[in-house]
Amino acid sequence: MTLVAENLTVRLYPAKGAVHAVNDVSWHLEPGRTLAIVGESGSGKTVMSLAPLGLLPPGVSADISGSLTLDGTKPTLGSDVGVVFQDPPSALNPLRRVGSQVTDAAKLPRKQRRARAIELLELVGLPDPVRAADAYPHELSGGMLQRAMIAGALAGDPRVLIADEPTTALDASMQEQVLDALADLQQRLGLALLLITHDIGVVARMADDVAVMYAGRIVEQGPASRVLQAPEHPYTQGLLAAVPAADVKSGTRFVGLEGAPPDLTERIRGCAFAPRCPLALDVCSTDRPELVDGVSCHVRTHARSR
Amino acid sequence: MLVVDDVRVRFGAITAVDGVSLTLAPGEILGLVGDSGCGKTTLARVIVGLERPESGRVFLDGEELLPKRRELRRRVQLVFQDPESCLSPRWTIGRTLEEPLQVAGMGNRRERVARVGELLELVGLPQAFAARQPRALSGGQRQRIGIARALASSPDVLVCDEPVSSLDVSVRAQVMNVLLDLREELNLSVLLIAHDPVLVHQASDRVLSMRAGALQPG
Repeated sequence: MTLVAENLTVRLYPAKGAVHAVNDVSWHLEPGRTLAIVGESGSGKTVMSLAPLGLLPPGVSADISGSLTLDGTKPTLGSDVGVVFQDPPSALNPLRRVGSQVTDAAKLPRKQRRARAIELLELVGLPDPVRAADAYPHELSGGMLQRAMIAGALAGDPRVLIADEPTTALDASMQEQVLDALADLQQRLGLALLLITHDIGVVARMADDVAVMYAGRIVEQGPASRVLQAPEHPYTQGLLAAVPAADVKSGTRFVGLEGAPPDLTERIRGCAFAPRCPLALDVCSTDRPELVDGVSCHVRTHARSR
Repeated sequence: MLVVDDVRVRFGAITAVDGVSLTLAPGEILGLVGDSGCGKTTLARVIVGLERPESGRVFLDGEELLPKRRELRRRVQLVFQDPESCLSPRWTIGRTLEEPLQVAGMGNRRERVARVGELLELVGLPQAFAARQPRALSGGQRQRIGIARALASSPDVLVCDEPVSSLDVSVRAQVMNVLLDLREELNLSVLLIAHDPVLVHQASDRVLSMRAGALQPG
């Protein structure tokens, strides 16, 4: 049961123009493993994961080429792949009890729904699943709601869970709860977890493998331990350097990247990161680098060939 | 010197801020951390005059910051979490920055345009940005405009409520370094409110921690 993305390319059509959101992306995810898709807003990480399942922003159409398959067939939302969204308060209906929303994805006779909801809420580690099932969203904390969202994603017994920034909207202590719940479920159910995040701390804690996205392409991918300890792409290096460290002296200047990601409505010549890259060569602004041994960068290719 | 003395704010049965006192010296960056709902944003709103406390007072250089004293109020400004909220999508950056000068009746048109250029320079952006529309700016640049707008009235104190939490990690440094530079160049006092303790520690001279409306000891 391996989830495979092959040369996945997604072009989005909002009201006006076209956005080259995802370009020629390939990866695979095996049961029991966690692949983290890392990138900043607009890098295409969410579109790449959700557009092939038919989940698009409202009013936007998409042109998808390449494929996303689970054991060679197109995965079905709910029964093959469950999705946990970023912001539980906006994903849940405030007027319906949490329990009834948790079982939305499971096609169950009415009578069995409540029992199944309680079972699912217990599965994600809510301390009082009966009370949680009967509660309205506003009666639960952010961390509890996010776990209820995970329960909902599991209602159709999927083999793969896609979690889109599952902890971004939460306070630090709640983040811990949600990550614990995800790790625990993955182990017990043998789930494959596709974790979309911009938070390097979450990657370090959860991921087996990492794919770093920039401007709709994977610029670096590999085992999490390798990518985090010895990043090779200048963008990955910059991203890791920008994470504030606990032992830094007060008043120290912050490290980050200059500039901003490119406009994806326009055709990009060469390497999309070149205008912000401290190491850029002449070739970087004219030729697009290929992904070789998990890194897509002229500078590295150049260094190796010498 | 900004002094907050025993401020208390209640919303119905909930005490959002429960007797908070603090001081902020010129040129000091004071960090304030706490989980969402701890009352840190309400405290910020009291300091800039957007929220009236049930009891307690706020002083700037020994004078009380009452709602009626607009001249004094101008010396304490708020930088919002989401820069979108202070940028009109239809106005150029120049117009957005000029508006507060106009409202305050500062100078003639030419002097105001010159001041807009100064404000852009203070936040590390080229003067040509005055002609741009907000949508042509990145998130980090927009937040720097938010800071520039707060600086328009030449304040002594900047209250920054989660100034970088809506920004990507790689561009947060641009905004944080602007705050460090402003303290250096203008001897500005900054109250830096955020939920990320590591980021706050790096920027601040002192850090206070808030929980359930009150400052935590230690």
